[in-house]
Amino acid sequence: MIEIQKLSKVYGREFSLQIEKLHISEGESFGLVGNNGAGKTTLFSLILDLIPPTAGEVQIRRIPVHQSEEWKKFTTAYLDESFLIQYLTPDEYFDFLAKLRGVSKAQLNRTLEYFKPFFKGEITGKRKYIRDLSKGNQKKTGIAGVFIGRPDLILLDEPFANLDPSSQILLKRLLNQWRADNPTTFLISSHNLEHITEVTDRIVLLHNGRVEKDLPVNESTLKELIDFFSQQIDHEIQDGY
Amino acid sequence: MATSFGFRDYLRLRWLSFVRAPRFHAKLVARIFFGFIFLLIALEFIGFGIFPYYFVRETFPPEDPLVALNRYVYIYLVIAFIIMLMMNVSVSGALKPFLLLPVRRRKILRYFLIGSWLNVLLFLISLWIWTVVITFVLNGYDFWKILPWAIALQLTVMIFSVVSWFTERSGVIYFIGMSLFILLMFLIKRYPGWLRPLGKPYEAIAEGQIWLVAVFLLIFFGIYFLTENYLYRRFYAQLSTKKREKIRATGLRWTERFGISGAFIQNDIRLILRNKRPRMLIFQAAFMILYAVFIFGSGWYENQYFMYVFAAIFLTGVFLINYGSFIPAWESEHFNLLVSQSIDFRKYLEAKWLLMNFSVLVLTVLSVPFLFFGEDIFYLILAFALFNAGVGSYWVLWSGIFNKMPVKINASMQEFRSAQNTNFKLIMWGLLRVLVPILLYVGLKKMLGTGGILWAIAGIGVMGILLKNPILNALASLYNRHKYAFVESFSKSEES
Repeated sequence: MIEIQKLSKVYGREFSLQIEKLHISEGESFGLVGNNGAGKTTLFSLILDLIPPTAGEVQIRRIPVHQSEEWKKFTTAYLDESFLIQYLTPDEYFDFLAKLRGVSKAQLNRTLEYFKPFFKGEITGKRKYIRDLSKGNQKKTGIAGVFIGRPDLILLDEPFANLDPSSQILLKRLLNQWRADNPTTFLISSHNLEHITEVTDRIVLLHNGRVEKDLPVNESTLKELIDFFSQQIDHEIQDGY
Repeated sequence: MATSFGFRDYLRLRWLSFVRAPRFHAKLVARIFFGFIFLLIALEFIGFGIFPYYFVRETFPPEDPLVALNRYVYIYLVIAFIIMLMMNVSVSGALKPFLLLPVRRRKILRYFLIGSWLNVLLFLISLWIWTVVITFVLNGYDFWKILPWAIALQLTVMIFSVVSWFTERSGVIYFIGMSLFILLMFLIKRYPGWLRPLGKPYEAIAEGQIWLVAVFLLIFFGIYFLTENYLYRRFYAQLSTKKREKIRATGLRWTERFGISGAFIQNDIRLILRNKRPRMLIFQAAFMILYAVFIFGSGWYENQYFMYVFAAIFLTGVFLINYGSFIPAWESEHFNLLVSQSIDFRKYLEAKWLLMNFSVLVLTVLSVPFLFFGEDIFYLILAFALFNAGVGSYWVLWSGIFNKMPVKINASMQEFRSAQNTNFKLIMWGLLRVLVPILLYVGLKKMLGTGGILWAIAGIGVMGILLKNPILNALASLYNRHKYAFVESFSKSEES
């Protein structure tokens, strides 16, 4: 689904991201972890063609993202609030997305129905602008929005942040259920190592803009990730930070 | 905790917020430009202060210049009052960051109020007052005679500024202020002397009734403390209540027949009606109609074609210009969403173009009553309506590319109209946008005659409308080329 070749992004003089090669297969659920500044958001932005790469390229289904816009027809993303329209109600926002993606009313309603337990009655049917929603409910609106039109590729940056504990658990269930029913490829980043191991098949650990580890998800993955970050802390303490 | 937070600390914080504003680090050219403009205006105010004495002495030799000046001082005062009303700053917004400091709130409020006297406007008006005093004294006038007069004026201006604290700077106040201003100019032209009594107290003081200064002083302190108390109480009320917004513009079914463009148009209408800043566009349009009535009807600009053309352009183009200059900046807050969807700029721009030209059409219909001022004027308006639709619309879409500052669409006026974020480039584009057609008109008028020039202008407009497809395609590819730059600067959280 995604093919990354010799991709790098330089801000000023520092490499923000440098990936020699990365391949994400169709239908894979791909996790991305790393500390702040590791390059997660940069990678997302490069995949979505929001920033130009310094060198190399990203291909989605063999389409170079900066050359053609064909990939946008089956790709959706929710990275941050700039993917919401603050002055719409959630219903209007979903409606707008459905129109842009050529999705019928019936299909839209089916998708929203799927997320009904996740919304807890606080998103749809409420006459409230998105900007007046709580951070958690804004997040829920954005997350549900990416599923409209059943895209083949979904990018989610930190979907668990700002959600309350029961919504986090529910989101994990919904993601896994969706994966069981659909061939969607996911790209999900998270700071929560436990959650991310529960919703992905493969996890890449970014560190200082490079791929540090590339792990299939199994029983030992979580421990390996925790060990890595623990060692990092120890190194930093030794270095006198 | 001991609080040693004094007025100087407060001023230091304000200063830091000024010099660290992103705008302050704008290009050197822009900074010099604004510095130059400020200097020019200051010089103008000084000139206004020096001028009356010599003018009266040369033109009406026996007349006492101070007495003569007093006859017009009310005009200065009313204008100052209107401007101050419009430019005031909201108290609660500016004070929020200070609330958690270990300083008494009453003290912070007082610092804020007194600190707000250090503004450009008050400075300029005071500059005028004291230049008058210096001019008079240098010409042998008795300093002790003119000092009470100047103090009274200064106090009046201070009273205005206190009164202005009651208002929250908003679209409505702005509209009311501008309308008052026009009404005032109208009255001065048609009924001179009607507002004269407002100047009486100053005349009396100049004639020696110095005790009146005490009255001014009393009013000033009285109104200051009443206002401070009121604001102190309202301050709490404002912090605790959160208004729930009414949901507007929910229907808009009619947009559905335009397909994807319709979805954008629907979104734009909601953007305009639901956000503070674009909502101003409506007031601006209403004001422009009023202003056009003034230009064509008041008699101040009899046969001044420069002003007529200016009014004609803006009458039908006010929305187009004010809205169009911020495309796509209006959508800076969700620009990432737009560019990651499968939509092309072509459809996006077409929707904007349709909306803008719809506004031209509506405003043209609304200006049919201008037939009352003569057919010539109406034809002028019609010709420039076509010009706006066929040329102006592309012009603003093009200039939008150079306006990459993000717009906080729901920020209150107080937040966005600070000197810190006036956009130099935008001013330049706006100037060109107006000057080019005016010069075109004035330049070609001699060659083509009054009728010919109108046909030519309308013709250019119609041609532009017919060339919609190739021009919008070209613009779309231009927008595509600037995509990364838009994304980058729109993602900066601060307006810069």
